[in-house]
Amino acid sequence: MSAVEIRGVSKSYDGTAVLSDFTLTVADTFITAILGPSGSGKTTLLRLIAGFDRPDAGMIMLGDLIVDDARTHVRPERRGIGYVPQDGALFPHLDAIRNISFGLDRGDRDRAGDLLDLVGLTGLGHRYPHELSGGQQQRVALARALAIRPKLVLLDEPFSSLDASLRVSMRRDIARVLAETQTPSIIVTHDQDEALSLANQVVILDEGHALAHGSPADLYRTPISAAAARYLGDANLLSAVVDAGVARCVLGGVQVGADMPSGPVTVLVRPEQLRVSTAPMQGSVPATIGNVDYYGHDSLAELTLDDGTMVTARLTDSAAMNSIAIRRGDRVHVQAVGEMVAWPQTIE
Amino acid sequence: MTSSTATATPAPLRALRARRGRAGWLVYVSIVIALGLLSPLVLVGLDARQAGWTEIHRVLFRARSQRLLVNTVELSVVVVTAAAVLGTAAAWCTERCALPLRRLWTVLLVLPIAVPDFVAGYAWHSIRPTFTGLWAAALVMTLSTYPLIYLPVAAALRRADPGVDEVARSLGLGRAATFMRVTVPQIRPALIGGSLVVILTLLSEYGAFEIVHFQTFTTEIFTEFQFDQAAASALSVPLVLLGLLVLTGESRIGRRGRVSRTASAAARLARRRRLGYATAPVLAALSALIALAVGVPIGTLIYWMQRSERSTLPAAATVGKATWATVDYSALGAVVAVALALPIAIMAVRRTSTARRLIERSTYLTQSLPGVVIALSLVFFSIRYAYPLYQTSLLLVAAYAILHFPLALVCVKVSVVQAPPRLGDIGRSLGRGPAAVFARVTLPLIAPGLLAGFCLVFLTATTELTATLVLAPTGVHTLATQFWAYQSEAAYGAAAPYALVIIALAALPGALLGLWFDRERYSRLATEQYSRPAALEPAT
Repeated sequence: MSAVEIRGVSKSYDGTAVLSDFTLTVADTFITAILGPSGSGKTTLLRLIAGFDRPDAGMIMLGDLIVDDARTHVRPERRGIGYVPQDGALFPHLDAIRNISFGLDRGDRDRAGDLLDLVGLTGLGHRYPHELSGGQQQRVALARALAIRPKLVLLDEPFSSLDASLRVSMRRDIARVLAETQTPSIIVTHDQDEALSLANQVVILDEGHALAHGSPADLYRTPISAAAARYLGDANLLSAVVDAGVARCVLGGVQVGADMPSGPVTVLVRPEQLRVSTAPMQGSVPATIGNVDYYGHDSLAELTLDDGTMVTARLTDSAAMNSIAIRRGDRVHVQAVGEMVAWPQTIE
Repeated sequence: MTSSTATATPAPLRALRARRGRAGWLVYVSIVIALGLLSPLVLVGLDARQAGWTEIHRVLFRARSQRLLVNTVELSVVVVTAAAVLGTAAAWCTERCALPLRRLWTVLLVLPIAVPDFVAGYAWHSIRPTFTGLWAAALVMTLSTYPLIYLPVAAALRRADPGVDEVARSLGLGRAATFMRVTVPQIRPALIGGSLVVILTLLSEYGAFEIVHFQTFTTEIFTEFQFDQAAASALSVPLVLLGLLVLTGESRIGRRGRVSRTASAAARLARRRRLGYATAPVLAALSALIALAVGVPIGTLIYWMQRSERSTLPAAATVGKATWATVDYSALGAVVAVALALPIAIMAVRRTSTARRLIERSTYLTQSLPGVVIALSLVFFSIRYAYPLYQTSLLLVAAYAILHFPLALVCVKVSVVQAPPRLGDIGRSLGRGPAAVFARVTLPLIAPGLLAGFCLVFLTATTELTATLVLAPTGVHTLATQFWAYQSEAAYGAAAPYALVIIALAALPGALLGLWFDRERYSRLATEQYSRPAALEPAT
């Protein structure tokens, strides 16, 4: 069963279309991430699912219940959907425990304390929002949303206001809490790392359309289009001509699937599929090193091939230790390793 | 937030249409309220037209009118300058210095707004009968209007990012240079806004000027009103024009001076500087200011009460009745003003569009209408179109509500910002219906602002004289009208108790207001969370 099904939904604000004829099915899995740049309609999508706004056209289903169509609009308080906005949006006049128990009935107030423990804020129940740090406010907001035992939790860029180190630990904690409470959830983000590491399913959103969806590994390894490939992770997209399972491009001949028909294609070479060496290798082409971004565990190097094409290669730290010079201006040899994904080029 | 796509439909109309679906009724309610508030402006025009062009010409283009204009401008320059210096200095002391008993000072410094201008004028004048003319008027008005600059400047100083000052110091600027080049630009919008309110107060002042024999358009209108109503209406025209001029000035300069906060994430409060050896002189200066603004009037009133024979003092019952009438009308006026301000505030804050801004801004126009003009227009209206209303308390309450509406709106707007619709959305998603969300989220958040609006209007209405004199039904005496009647006959002793009750009535809401403006509790969280434009509205 699907958790949320959206069919042909359109929504515009002040005459500007944000979503147009949008269709998406979110499986009833653990965490779904919706990935897209700002302005791609992510927040609007969540607001429609939560019932804060009504779609101009189309249908929204939660489970097997229609909550929005031309005739129906189930009010937000009847949907049982938890919502965690970007900055938490805690009620500023209520302390943490009363924020959490806002949606609870009187007899159920003990639950608020349990939830406070669950999000790791034991003992801070009487702090007011302005006395809590950004991360703590987010935790309270999550506990508040979970208090009503929602069928689904929506999280709108929950980590964007936190600093990098806090972000990773919050990500883990939230994944743990969602798993412990067995709550399906949708999280929108513009951060690929977040989407890849947190979610079981990722939906890539672009200008009001779902570009691709699938598991993080599938989306990374076998994206359905060049646009989707560029979206997730670093990608070298090169023009090539296929003949009998081998694509000829500026990197020489690279392996593509045997079932790839002959003709012009766009081939995807991930940076880690490039091997760099100071000595020539079989089928390698010469290149010059440009900018190098050093990340500790590995580095990303820009390489300029002799015909002027730029590609990005990932150099693991061990490779760097094997005395490969990774200084700007050095001459190296590049070789594409393994089988690549390619898409036939459409003739226009 | 407003889309910049060009279409054939004019922007305000397009905006209105787009919003009709969601809470569009609020816009229509607001339009009705705004039209009601603006009706005095129309009525003044009608009234003046009835007086005829020749009459207008005769009244306006005599040498006397020129004298009145010069008086008004001179006084405005002197008072605004002095009040700006006093208000800013006081705000600097309470916000940026570690003042002993700081909370107390924040209340004391606002207290002069509880002393009606006409009482202050009377007090000074009764000490020395030669206390008259421009400088007398300037002294009285400076002491009673500096809080109008102190309050917004103090708020701006609190909001201003101290980090910017530190950066300026690190770039080699001295303390004085930092103040002039960095701090002043940050408080400039508040300073300008406050100054314009001071000018509008000066334009509409009657009682204090009458006492110190200083003529302005308002005193002249009042004198004419008793003999020749048409001339009074004709004189209202330049007064209204001056007010409108000031208001347009505000929107022009105000826009240029707008300061945005660049980094909202790391906002923090400025550390208050220890005064050290300067403590004693600063405290002495602040004490002197409050002694002049509050001590002199109260002291004089008590002196006159003690001096006079027991028999000339009014009976407690008469004072009681006048007190009740004052509280009754002022409270009603305040409730009506706040109730009318709420829909306009919600309309203006929840979504921005040209149409919504226009409606909201138009309601501020009443600020340019002096009390006497609004009162005259209501008299004109009731006599011509609704005679049964003439000489009823309804008109007085309406006048208070119209006159002080902008004050109510300012307070209510601030609090509506603190209750963004997103919080209501969250409440709904937690399973609560709209009514429960209003009671448990929206109301607690806006209640302090509503109360502040009520206090401000109540306080201003209690100390209001001109409209009350014109509109109070025959036989109804308020504290202000009683005081005025006695002091006109130079019965200082008999007048004093009424003035003291006014000050006592106004002091409590005045003190509450001082504390409200000084609040830090969740306003900081709110400004941090909701000043980000993206947070205010769904992605558009």
